[in-house]
Amino acid sequence: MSGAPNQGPAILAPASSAEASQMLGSFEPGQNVRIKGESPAPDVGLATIVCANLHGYEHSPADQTLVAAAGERLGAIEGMLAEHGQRIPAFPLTARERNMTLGAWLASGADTAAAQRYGRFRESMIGAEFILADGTRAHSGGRVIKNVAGYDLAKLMAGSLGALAFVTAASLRLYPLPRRAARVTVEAEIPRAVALVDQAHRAGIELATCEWGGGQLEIGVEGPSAAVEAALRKIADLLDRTVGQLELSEGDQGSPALASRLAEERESFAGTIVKVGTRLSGVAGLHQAIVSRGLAERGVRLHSHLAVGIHYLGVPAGDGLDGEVDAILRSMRLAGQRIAPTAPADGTIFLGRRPGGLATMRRLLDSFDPQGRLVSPMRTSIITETEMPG
Amino acid sequence: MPIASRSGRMEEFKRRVVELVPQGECIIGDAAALSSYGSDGLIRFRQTPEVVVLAKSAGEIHSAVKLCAELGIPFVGRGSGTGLSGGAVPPPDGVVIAASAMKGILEIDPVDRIAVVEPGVANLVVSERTAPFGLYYAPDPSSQSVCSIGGNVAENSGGAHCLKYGFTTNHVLAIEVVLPDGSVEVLGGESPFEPGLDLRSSFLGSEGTLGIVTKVWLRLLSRPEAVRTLVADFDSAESAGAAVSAIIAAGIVPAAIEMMDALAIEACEKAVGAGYSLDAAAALIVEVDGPREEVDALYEEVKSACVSCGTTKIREAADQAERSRIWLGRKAAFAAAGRLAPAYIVQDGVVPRTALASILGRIAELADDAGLRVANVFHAGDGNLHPLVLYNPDSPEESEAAERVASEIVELCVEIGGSITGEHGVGLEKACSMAAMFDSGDLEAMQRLRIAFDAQGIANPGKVFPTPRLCGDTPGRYRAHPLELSGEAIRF
Ligand SMILES: Cc1cc2nc3c(=O)[nH]c(=O)nc-3n(C[C@H](O)[C@H](O)[C@H](O)COP(=O)(O)OP(=O)(O)OC[C@H]3O[C@@H](n4cnc5c(N)ncnc54)[C@H](O)[C@@H]3O)c2cc1C
Repeated sequence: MSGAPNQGPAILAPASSAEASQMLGSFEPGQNVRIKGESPAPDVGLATIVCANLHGYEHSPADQTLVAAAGERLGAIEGMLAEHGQRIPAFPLTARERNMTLGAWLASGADTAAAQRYGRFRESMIGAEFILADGTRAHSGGRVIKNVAGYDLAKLMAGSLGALAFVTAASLRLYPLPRRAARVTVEAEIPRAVALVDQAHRAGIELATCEWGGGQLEIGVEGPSAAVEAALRKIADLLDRTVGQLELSEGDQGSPALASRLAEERESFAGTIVKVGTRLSGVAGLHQAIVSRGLAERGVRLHSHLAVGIHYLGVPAGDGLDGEVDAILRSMRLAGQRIAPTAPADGTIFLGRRPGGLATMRRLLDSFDPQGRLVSPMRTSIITETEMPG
Repeated sequence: MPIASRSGRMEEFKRRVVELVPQGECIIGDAAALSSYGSDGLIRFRQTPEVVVLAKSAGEIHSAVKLCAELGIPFVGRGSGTGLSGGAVPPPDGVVIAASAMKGILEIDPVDRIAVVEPGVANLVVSERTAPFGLYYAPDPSSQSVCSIGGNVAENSGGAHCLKYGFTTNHVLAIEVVLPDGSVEVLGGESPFEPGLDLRSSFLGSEGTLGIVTKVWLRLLSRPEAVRTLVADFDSAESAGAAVSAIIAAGIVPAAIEMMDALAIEACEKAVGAGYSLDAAAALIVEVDGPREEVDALYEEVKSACVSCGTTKIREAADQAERSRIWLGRKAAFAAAGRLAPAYIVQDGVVPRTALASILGRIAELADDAGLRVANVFHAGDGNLHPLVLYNPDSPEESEAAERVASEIVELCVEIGGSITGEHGVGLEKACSMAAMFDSGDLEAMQRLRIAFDAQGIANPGKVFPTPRLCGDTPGRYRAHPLELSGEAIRF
């Protein structure tokens, strides 16, 4: 920890929940703080509380649950679990993501190819411990996978971008590593990719991952060897090929190669990344709009966790493209969220249709943090949108 | 001019509400009809409402809630009334707004695998109506032929197959809700990603305290290509528990693992004759589903795990008819307890699944001490236990002892790191037990959420949260451990 909260900008790095609670509780009225995974560049005139020093975990291999402090790194968690033949529902992770703290990861609401099989990361969050802006310590959920006692505030923390509370620990449901995993890559533009996913569903193929980008579809199947073999035969049938003719990766290379490449591309993209959700078939219209309005030629890119309906638009900087993408989303009644680069302090991260429940989100911010102590692009955006007419 | 007295406001409500629900029905003044809305499946809590609004559309629910908001009248949303925690019991001086007549399936999209339904649709109907497309709705509470999707959303209901497929929260993409101030919002979207704060997740399982659900977007799954089911008998609960652990440790996630003890087996046999072995101390029903080759491979491994843990007999379902019979027995377990005793309490608690065998021993001790019998059925795969505490209601001592044993079991669950409820909810029944799991900071955070949805506190008041009126002035049982206070341990 360097500096005290009432001495102006400081990095606060509590090593325990109790310490975090005490730090947040001792803020003077009117002082602001933002929540981060780790120390940011020291150029903002704002106190920052980071979770990087919160360490420790309790893994119950036989119960397939993990309670981890928010400062644990995803890569370390991934490695530790792999030794027990288990995983969290977040893969493949890029090098940057492996180095992220659990707290920052879950607050970011990031998705991976794993969403196809396990749902979004929040869905495996079975509990969370957090500190409200005034220092109140609280938890919701627990360490058992089934539990309906009280409101589920743990999932609410996922993707909240630090607008509600400082998460100090999370409790997660874990999954066994697959015995065998194989990925098939196919050249397919969006309409064909959507049709292939539909056919795969009808053929009884359980997709473990389903990624699309750059005109390629990557389908992953997992399970006992004989089941993977059978799924590959069915995929080959759909494509009018033999299994030997499939573009296949397995074993160590079985980790979704296209998914990794696309995630890395997004990380280094020179422009804005907008995340948007649609029904499976809805992505075809989105893709069509981008192509027909000439935005693809101007560098707008689409990546997709296809079957689950979560997509990313890479929008090159400048050239007014942000506005054009916003207009497309509006006309299609799609709600988008700018996820990178970090939103400007005074701007909104929402594009297109306004998300549902904004008025309640606004009241929730006022209720969780009445003094508006926590500075977060989520807060700014909700306030901006609810104060804008129409 | 504002009407100050409660009775005056209620009279005004009665006068005006009738015009607001032209297609639906308002029950007012018909004591017999009103009384059937006085409780849910847990009949020991009862409060006859003054008004029941049987809405036919979202618009009618909207109008009725707006009127409640205007007049400050508390309301409770109601589905099929199968809840087992008193959640749908009307608040005193309140009204019931029932969605049970809203049974429309508004859309089935077989390509996008989404169904959009009204809240009164019965859970099983969704699967029946989507079956022609090879699809189904996965969460399968035992009450699925009756309970409503709106009730499932409010309770975040689970079922035998939720071990593999997840709970209601994992299958609801979005909900349209009428908030207690009369505004309408859609929470969530047609994809699992919707920008902003995830209010959908908080609403799931909020037990009617945040508003009324008027439309639900459900995620559908492909019907599994193959299903195989077995019943494995064991001569002790310990070995059955060990078999559960062995299956999970092998990296298998079966569709379901259910466990019954000898008394539960006896009850089910008496009720439906499912062919369970009456000489077994415990039995597991294990079901594996998915693509055929996967099922074949995993099924053999499940059998080996049962054998290595000392199963005394494995019965395999030869066909769909036998599978149905096996499940009929299990799903009839609650009602079947009536064959063993004139009355029983259905308890619902959760422990880490590795603690199943040990909690069974502790439950047996509690029962012995109280001179009662307890039959146990578990969703063993996820550690969710349903002890059925048997008693004679004509004996005040036994009735009291049964209540005591039931609440001690729940306390035990919390002590072992579990939960006071896995699927039946807190409702009225367990509001006072919330303090066993949550301290004042936790409850305050939950209240802050509640206030954001319901500043007036008119949506199903008196449920979920301990109140002095409900729980006396007893301070919460929860005491922070010194390690926790010092920040060295994480509490859950
Ligand atoms: C024999 C039996 C077996 C059961 N087995 C299971 C099981 O396996 N798993 C399980 O999870 N549960 C089980 N239950 C409990 C019960 O069926 C579930 O909780 C179910 O979801 C309740 O649905 P309902 O429509 O009957 O709701 P109700 O009982 O009418 O209401 C339950 C709660 O939901 C609220 N509610 C209802 N509709 C709405 C709405 N439209 N909007 C907002 N709030 C609403 C009510 O206010 C109340 O708090 C069982 C019950 C019985 C009787």
